[in-house]
Amino acid sequence: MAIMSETLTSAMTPVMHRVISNVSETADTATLTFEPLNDGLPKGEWGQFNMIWAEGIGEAPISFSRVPVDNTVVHTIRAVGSVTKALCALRPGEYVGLRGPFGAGWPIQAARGHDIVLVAGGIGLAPLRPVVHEILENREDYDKVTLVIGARTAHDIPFLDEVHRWRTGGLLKVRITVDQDCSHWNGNVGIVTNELHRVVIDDPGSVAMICGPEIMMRFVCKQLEDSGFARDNILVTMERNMRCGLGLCGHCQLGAKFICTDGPVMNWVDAGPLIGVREL
Amino acid sequence: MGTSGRVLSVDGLDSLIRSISAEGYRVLGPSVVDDLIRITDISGVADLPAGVGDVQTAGKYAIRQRSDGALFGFATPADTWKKYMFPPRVRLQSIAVPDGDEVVEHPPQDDRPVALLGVRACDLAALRTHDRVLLDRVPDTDYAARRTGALLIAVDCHTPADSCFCASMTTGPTVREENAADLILTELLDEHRFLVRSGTEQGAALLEGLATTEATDEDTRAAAIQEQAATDALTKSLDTTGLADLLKQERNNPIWKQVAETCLSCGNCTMMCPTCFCVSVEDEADALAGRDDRVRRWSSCFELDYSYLHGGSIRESIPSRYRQWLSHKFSTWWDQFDTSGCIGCGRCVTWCPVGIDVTESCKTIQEHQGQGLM
Repeated sequence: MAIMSETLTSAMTPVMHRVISNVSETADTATLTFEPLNDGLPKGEWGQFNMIWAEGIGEAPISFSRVPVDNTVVHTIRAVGSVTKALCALRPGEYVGLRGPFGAGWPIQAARGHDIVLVAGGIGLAPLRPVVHEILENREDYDKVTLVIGARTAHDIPFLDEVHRWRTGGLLKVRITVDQDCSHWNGNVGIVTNELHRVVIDDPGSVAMICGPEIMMRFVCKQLEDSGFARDNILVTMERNMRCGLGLCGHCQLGAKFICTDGPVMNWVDAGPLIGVREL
Repeated sequence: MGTSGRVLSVDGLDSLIRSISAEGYRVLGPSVVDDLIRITDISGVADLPAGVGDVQTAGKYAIRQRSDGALFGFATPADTWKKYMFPPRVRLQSIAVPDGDEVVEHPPQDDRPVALLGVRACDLAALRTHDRVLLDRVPDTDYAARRTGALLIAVDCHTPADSCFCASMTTGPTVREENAADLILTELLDEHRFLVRSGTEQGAALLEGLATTEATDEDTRAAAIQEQAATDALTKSLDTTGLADLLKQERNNPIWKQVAETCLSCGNCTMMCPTCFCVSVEDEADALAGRDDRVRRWSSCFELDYSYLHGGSIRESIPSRYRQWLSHKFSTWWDQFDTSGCIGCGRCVTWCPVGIDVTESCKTIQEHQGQGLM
C-alpha cells in the first residue's frame, strides 16, 4: 500500500476507509460505519463534519452522528443528491475516502451546569446525537435537559430505538411531534414550536442547540429569544455547499462567513441576520 | 534597495529578457495574439506588442495602433496572471480504484520558475490579494510552488483604458510599494527608454548585471509628468467610503433586481477577475485505467451549482448571484481577508458581454440606499 505524499495540501487528499456496516434509519437515511485502511483521521468532535468521497462521483459534507471512540467513524446520511445516494447504497467491504474533521462544533462542555434544550428537525437529529451521548455520559454535569424532535411523519425519525431508550431512560425529557399523522402514531401532531412552548425555561444561562431546516431554525430561535434565551446561548448548525472544508473554495459562503470554517455551528447573534436574507 | 533610478534602453530590456531566460526562467509577458494582447511566452522585445494599444470600455475590447512604438502602450492584457499562478485546471490526486490502495498526489506540473514581465500596479495588488487568500491561511501548496519562485517585473501604466478605476481602489496606475516587484519599470516614450528601480535584492542583482545609466533629473521629471497624465486619464471612479458596510446593509434592497437586470450569469467577470479564487474539485474517472483523478478547476459564483444544497440551489435568481459577486468583491472580502477583493483593473467591465459596470452597480446601490425590502 503505497501512499506517496508529495507537495499538495494533504488536507485535500481523501483517506481511504472501508464500510463496515450500513444500517437503514428511515426510507432515505442510513447510518454508515467506516474504518480506515491504514492510519485514520484525527478524531472529530460534536458538530464537526467530514467530507465523504464516493469514488468517481464526488464529495459531500456529513456531520458525525457519533463522536469517534475508537478508529471507526460513524455518519448518518440522507440520500438526496448523487453523492449521498451513492454513499447510502454502499455495502460492507466497499470503500470511501474521508477528509476532516472540519469546522467549529457544539461548545457543549461550556454549557455544563446549565439547562439545555436541543431541538432537532428530522435528519437534524444526527449532528445532535453526539451531544445527547455526551450529556448522558456526564449527566451530573448538566442541569435539566430537553430534546424536542420534529419530523414529517413518524417514519422520518432517525435512531428510533435509541430515541425510545432516551425517552424511557428518565435522564432527559424527550418531546416528539410530527407534521403528519399516520395510523399507528399516538404522539403529538404539529410544528416543533408548539412543543417548544411546553418547555419551561427558568435558568437564565440556558443553552439551546438547534439543527433542522432553516425555516424551522428561524422560528425556533425567535421563540427561544422571546422566552428569555440570550442570543449567544442559542446555537444553530448551518449548512451550505461545503466543498473543501478549508475556507478555500468559496462555495459555502454565507455573507462574510465560510460555513466550513466559521461554522457549521454558529450562535444566533451571527447566524440570525444572515438566515433572514433570501438567497444569501 | 536601490530605489534611485537607473535608465535602461530598449535593447537593455531585450538583454534582460534573454538573460533571465538563460537563467532558466519561463518569461511570460504581453504579446499580440489573435488581435488581443494576451499573456504568453516571451523570448525577446520583438515579441512585445510594439505600437499596439487597447480600447477597453464596458462590454468592448479592441486593440489599436499607436502613433508611437510603445511596448507597454495598453492598459491590461486580455488575460490574467492568475492563469499561470493559479491555473484554471490542476490535477490534485490520482486514486487507484476500487480500494484506493494507491493515492498519488500530483506536484505542480511545470517546475520551471516563471518571470512575469509587464505586470501592472493593479495586477501586483491582485497578486498580493491572492497571497492573502491562498498563502496566509491554509497554504495552497500548488499556488505557493508557482508563486514563491516567480520573478516580478512590473511596468507602470501610462495608458489606462476607460474600464480602469485603479486610482479609486488605490492600487495604480503607478507602482507605489517599492518592494511589490523585483524590478519596476517606467516606460518613457519621447526618447524610448525605461526608468528602472529594484524592489528586492534579486531585482537589485539583476539590475547590477544590466547596462544602465544613471537617471537624470529630466528622466525623473518626465516620469512624474507621465504619472500625472496617466492618473488624469482615468475617467472612471468609485467612492468606496462606507461601501463595504452599505452593501451588507442593503442586502434586501429591491434595487438589486434592477442592478442585475441584464446579467446573463455567464461568469465572464469571475473568469477575468484576477482575484477570484473559487474552485470546484471534480472527479474524472478512468475506468480502463482503474484510476480516478480529482481535478480542481476554477468555479464561479454565477454557476447555479455553486450554491447547491440538498436538491436545489441557494441562489436560484440571477440578482442573488450578482449580489454575491459584488458584495464579496467590495464588502465581505474585507471581513475575510482584511483587504478589498477588487483591485480596479476593470477587466470585469470590459469582458461583460452586456457591459455591466461594477462601479455603476455600486453607485446605484449608494443612490438607492434604505429603499425597501427585496
